[in-house]
Amino acid sequence: MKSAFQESMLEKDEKVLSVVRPHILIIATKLSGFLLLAVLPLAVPYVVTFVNPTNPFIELMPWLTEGLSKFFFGVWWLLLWMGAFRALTSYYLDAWLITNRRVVDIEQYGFFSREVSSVFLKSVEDATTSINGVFPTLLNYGDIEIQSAAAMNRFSIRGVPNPRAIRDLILSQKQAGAHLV
Amino acid sequence: MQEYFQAFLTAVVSFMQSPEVIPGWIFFGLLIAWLVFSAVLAYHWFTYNLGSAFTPIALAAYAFGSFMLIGYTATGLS
Repeated sequence: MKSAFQESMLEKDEKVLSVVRPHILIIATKLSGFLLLAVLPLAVPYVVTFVNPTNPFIELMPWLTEGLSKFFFGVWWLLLWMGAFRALTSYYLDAWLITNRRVVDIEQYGFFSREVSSVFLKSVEDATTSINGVFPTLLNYGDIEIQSAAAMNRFSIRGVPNPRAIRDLILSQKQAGAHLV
Repeated sequence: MQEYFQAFLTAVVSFMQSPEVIPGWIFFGLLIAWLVFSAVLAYHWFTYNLGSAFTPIALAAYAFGSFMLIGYTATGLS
C-alpha cells in the first residue's frame, strides 16, 4: 500500500522495489538507552547501599514511591517516553526508497529538519558496501554509499540489513536499463 | 487505569482551585508540552509514513503509555 507521501513523490509509472531502513538493532540499542535511564533513579539507592552497606540510603525507598517524588518520577518517565518516540520517529522516517528509476534518500534529522534527495539509476557510477565490526558481521548489516556522476553527489545510509543485496538490486536495476522505461 | 484517570482529574481540579502551587504549574507545563509534541509526532507519522500499518499501532502505544504516565504523575499531586 502506497502512502499519500509516496504517491506525491513518485512519478506515474514508477514502482517502489524496496524500502531500506537501518537494522532493528540500531533502534533497539537507542531504546535500551532510554530504558536504562528510566530504571536509573530506582537503582541508585540499591547501588549506593551495595557499595556502602552502612549507608542508610535504602531506607529512602518507600519515600521514593510517594507524593512529590512520585510526581517527579512521573515527569522523568514521561519525558523519556517522549524522547524514545522521537528516536523511533527519526529511525522510522529516515529511509531509502529504491524504485525502478532512482534511489530516494530521505533524511529525517529531527521534527523540523527533513531532507529528501534522489539520484537516478542511470547516474549511479558506483555502489560501495562496508560491514565493520563483530555484530555487523554476525548479523549482516552495514553501510552503503552510492557515487553518482555528479562529482559532489554521494548518498549513504548506515547500518542497513543485508547491504550487499541492496547494492546488487541497485546495480542490477541500472544494468537492466529499467530507468529508461 | 481508572485510578490514574481520577488522579489526573483531581490534579486538574486542585490546580484550578489553587494555581499558586509550583508542581501544579510544572504539571500543566508538561501537559501543554506533551500536547504540542504529540501533535507534531502524529503529523509526521501520518504525513511522511511510507505506507506501513505500523503507524496506527505505534501511535496507539504512544498514546496509551502517555496517558498512563500522565495519570501516574498526577497521583503524585493528589
